[in-house]
Amino acid sequence: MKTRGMIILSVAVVIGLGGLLASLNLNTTKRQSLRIFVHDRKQALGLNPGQRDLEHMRIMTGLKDVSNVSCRHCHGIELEHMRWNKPRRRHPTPEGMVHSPDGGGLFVALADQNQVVEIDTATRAIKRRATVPGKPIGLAIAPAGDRLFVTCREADTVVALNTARFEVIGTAAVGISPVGVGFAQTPNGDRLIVANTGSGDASVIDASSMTELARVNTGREPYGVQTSADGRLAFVASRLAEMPHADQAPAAELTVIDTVRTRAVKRYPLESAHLSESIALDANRGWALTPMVRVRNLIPITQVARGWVMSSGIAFARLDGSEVVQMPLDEANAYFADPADLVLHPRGHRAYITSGGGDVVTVLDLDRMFEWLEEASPAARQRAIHDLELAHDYVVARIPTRRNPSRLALSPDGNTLYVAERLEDSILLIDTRTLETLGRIELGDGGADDPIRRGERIFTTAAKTFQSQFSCRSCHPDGHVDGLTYDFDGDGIGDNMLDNRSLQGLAGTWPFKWNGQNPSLAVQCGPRFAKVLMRTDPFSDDELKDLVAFIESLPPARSRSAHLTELTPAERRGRDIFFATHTPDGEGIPRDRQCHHCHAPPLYTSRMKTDVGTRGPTSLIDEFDTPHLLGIGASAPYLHDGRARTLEELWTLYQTNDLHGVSSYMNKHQLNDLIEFLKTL
Amino acid sequence: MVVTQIPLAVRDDFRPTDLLDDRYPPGSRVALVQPGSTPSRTRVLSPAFHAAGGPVIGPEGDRVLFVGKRTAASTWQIYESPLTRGVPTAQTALPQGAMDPVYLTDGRFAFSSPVPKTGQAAAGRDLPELYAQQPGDRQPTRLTFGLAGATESTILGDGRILFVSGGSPQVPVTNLALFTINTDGTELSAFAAQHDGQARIRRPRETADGRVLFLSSALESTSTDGQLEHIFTARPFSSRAAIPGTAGMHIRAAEPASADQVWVTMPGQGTEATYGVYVWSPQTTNQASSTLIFDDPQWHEVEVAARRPGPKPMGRLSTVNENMPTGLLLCLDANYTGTTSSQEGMAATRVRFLRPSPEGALEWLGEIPLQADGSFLAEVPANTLLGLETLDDAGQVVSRLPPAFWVRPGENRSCVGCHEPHSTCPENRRPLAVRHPPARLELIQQGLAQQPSPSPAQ
Repeated sequence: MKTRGMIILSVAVVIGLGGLLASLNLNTTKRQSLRIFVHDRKQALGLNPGQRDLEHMRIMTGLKDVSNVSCRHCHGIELEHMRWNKPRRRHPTPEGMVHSPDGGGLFVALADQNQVVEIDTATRAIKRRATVPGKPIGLAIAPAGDRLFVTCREADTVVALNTARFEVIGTAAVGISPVGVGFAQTPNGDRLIVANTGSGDASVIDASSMTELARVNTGREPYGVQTSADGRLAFVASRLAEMPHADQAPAAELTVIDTVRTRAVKRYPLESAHLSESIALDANRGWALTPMVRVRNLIPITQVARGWVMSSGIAFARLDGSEVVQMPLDEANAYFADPADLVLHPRGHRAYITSGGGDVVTVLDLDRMFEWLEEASPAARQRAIHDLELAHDYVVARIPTRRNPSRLALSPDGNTLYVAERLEDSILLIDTRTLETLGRIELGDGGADDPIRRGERIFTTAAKTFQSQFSCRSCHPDGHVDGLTYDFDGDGIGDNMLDNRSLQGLAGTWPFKWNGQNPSLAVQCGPRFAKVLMRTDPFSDDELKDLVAFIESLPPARSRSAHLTELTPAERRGRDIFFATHTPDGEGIPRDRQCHHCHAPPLYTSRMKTDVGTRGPTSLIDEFDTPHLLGIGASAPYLHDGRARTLEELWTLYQTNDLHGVSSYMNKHQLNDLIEFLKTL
Repeated sequence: MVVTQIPLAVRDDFRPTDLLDDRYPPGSRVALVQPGSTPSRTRVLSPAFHAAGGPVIGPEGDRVLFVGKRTAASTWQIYESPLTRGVPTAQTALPQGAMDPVYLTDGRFAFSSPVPKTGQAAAGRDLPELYAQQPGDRQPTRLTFGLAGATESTILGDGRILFVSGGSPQVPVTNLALFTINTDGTELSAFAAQHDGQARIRRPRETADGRVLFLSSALESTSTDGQLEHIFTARPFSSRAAIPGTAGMHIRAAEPASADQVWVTMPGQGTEATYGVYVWSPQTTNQASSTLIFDDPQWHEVEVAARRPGPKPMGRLSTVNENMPTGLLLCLDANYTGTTSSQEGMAATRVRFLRPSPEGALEWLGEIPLQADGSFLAEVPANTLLGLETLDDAGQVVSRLPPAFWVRPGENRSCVGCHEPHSTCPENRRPLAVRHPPARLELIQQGLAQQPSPSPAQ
């Protein structure tokens, strides 16, 4: 009886609100929002929309059946209301670290707070702070210790700090989203090598004048940089792999750059490896080492045990270019997900590597590893990464850390290892002689009361997956893509190869999943996800709330330089094509084939499923969720099954007879313009 | 601390009829005792039972499961008792009895049934299988399907059930080994000790420092005591070893009690000494450094149960769909052995599926061709013990896996190769078999199915 009364009251309120709507003196946006609210309440209460509403919905969507369409599919979407556009708490979040050559100071980039700090290693207290806008992340220091170089990921710059005054003395524009930076003293002067993750290249900078000399193409998302002792070579590890074809193994690239001639001199393919974020050199033995994840995305995910989906390792690349050997870090029944940073002890006997998902620092006996490398047959070396019992032979210790250990720094004498516990705002100190912990430097309170911070901890932990094999981040570094396609077995083995979609800019773009079956992120990340991928208990309700809060806080990816403030002529022409209702010949483009019809701004999605003729060889359905286009330039490959390696291929190799937008009239210049515009979104 | 206490003496006319009679003679009981305390503070958890033993403590530390029989004529069943107050309640009522209970992470418990009869051949029929059941439900779900026994189960930190089996009932048991399954019976996997020679394994227990302890004894031994061995979970197939300093010790049970302590039951020094409970550090290498923490001179404490140390084991959502009669089996390369693969040439070109007939012979379920990369994808009957033979072009058997695995309904099962090392990850290669629908097996004519297989070609 009480419930019935509530329903009658609700109906009355809704009808009353509807009647009042016209008489209220509201601006357009508020009026529209209120109208949607009233309409939604009507729908929720089972009241049918009016005939005019239905006609409007049919015309605008091109659908005959609009029973699953609400006003919210098209109206009331404002980017400023998206969670990623709202202010949030900023935490210290230690990222890059580098020691001063004299051992007295430890410089730390606090990306989230736009600061670089110097920590007195004797007192373990912050000595000085410098404001460095643009999300400072990577650090390198000149051998004399007088200059500190900082990459600014959101500003697309590298800045030079005078370490005496601790202030910015120079800035150089670089490629998109720079992260790793290395310093090299060359016969031609001091150089910086900067890994630009967003533009897939490395900038070579004259460190004296802070001018960019050249950009060298690297693998996708170059991240870690290490220069040789003589400064002539720079090694750049790329984070993402390229998939030549949906059926072929991906490979990441380790690029060797001649810092004098400013060109790539060697490209090592790392087969089925990705997520390499750092690199170290053992010049004496002639190897470059980079942590990596060995991915097995071509195999249907029928299980996760035995590293069926991925495992962690280190790639050893011979400096003479003759060989790459991948060696495992995991064990038969325990995994150490998301290897992040790798440093070698100055004496070369040990290596230290962080597991961002496993919350440990693994200590490796390099002598044993190299001994094994020298004695093993070529066939054994090639199979090494698949042997889950091998690491036990050379793992000296697994030292527990707080959440999400990332960057490492060694004191010049090699006796103290600093571990950035990224999501706890702290730095752990380890005595490398005893492997005992020496305490922590606390940079903040850890942010445990912030749901977004808590959500990121869940996102980055491997403890929620079977045997701690991987984290959400393992497939979504920075919440973005890994550029790979997977075959989940829930819908059949071999069916429905799925492109891994970015989580950046995802807020408000429901439904989720390529088949559009998940109405919310909570459903997307809920029990079904646990059953198919985590193979453990699902997240708790509280964990899910925090996880969703974090995902919705991720802004769209950026594939356009921060230095560009206005659209270029090509981008403007492309914008006209995107919003065109007629071809250049004046012929009308059917409404449902105009780009902006399905990819309607501001999110550039209709939030509905559409059949645009993109069914692929493994697809079981014709209608797919219309993906939003925010950051689309950075999320290759494309289509639900990842067939299209580039945006261009959508309208060339995989042109759908003008069902996926009318494009057959375009010449190559117009197509290029359209793509240039898409990259601005 | 919960212990099994057995009487110091057994009546001369007692003749055990099954395994548990032998293990827990009349008068045996399960009791709650305090370490370091006097026997007067003992609380019997199995009052008025003819015999009881095999206690395991629940994840919350408030309940205990054990096996017991109310009278000499009754069968062994699983009982649950609160630790503090209350009386035991029967959880099973199986005609052939139940044994070896273990709490699962989802509130259910698993157990083995039937209880083997005394003198029963190690390989044969009516060997124990694993079942799972909700407390109070009495509707067990079968988890294993025709192995050469599935007993001594325990739960691992990753949520899997670890148990002891002889593997295939088609092969004479010369070696008991450790296997795992998920709590819904999926993903049967070799865990350790498959190729380590002849020994009987009992009471595997995972420790907090990355090992599995277990007792081993010679197959022909009639003693329930054993040698304490361990394997490292980091490399379970190459690390099995006796724990130094335990040779010659008569250990009946070992139970991890904390991160750095193990409780063991063994006899004390001297001819009159009884079995007691000792605390022992895994790093300790001799009996002298173990410390007696409980011994009632009127009883032998032969088993001890501790609340599992460390974090609660992981849970897992079931992937079983009981409405489906079949599951899928995907093999990435049936010619892969760890050193050879189809890339070096196709030794085998077909695969034959086998199952044991009710009479114990092998039935052929069908044959399917291997793809050019050695892969196959087949739809196979669920809950059925299956074996495989790979065949060359001439029909000769290249390799043989006696019936020793199954798929659960709706399970997607997969393997890397045949007889490859158990800790091998797969190559990242898309198997050709997934480009086609799963091959369906049709039962071959009965007459053909009874034909013996040719011997392996190699």
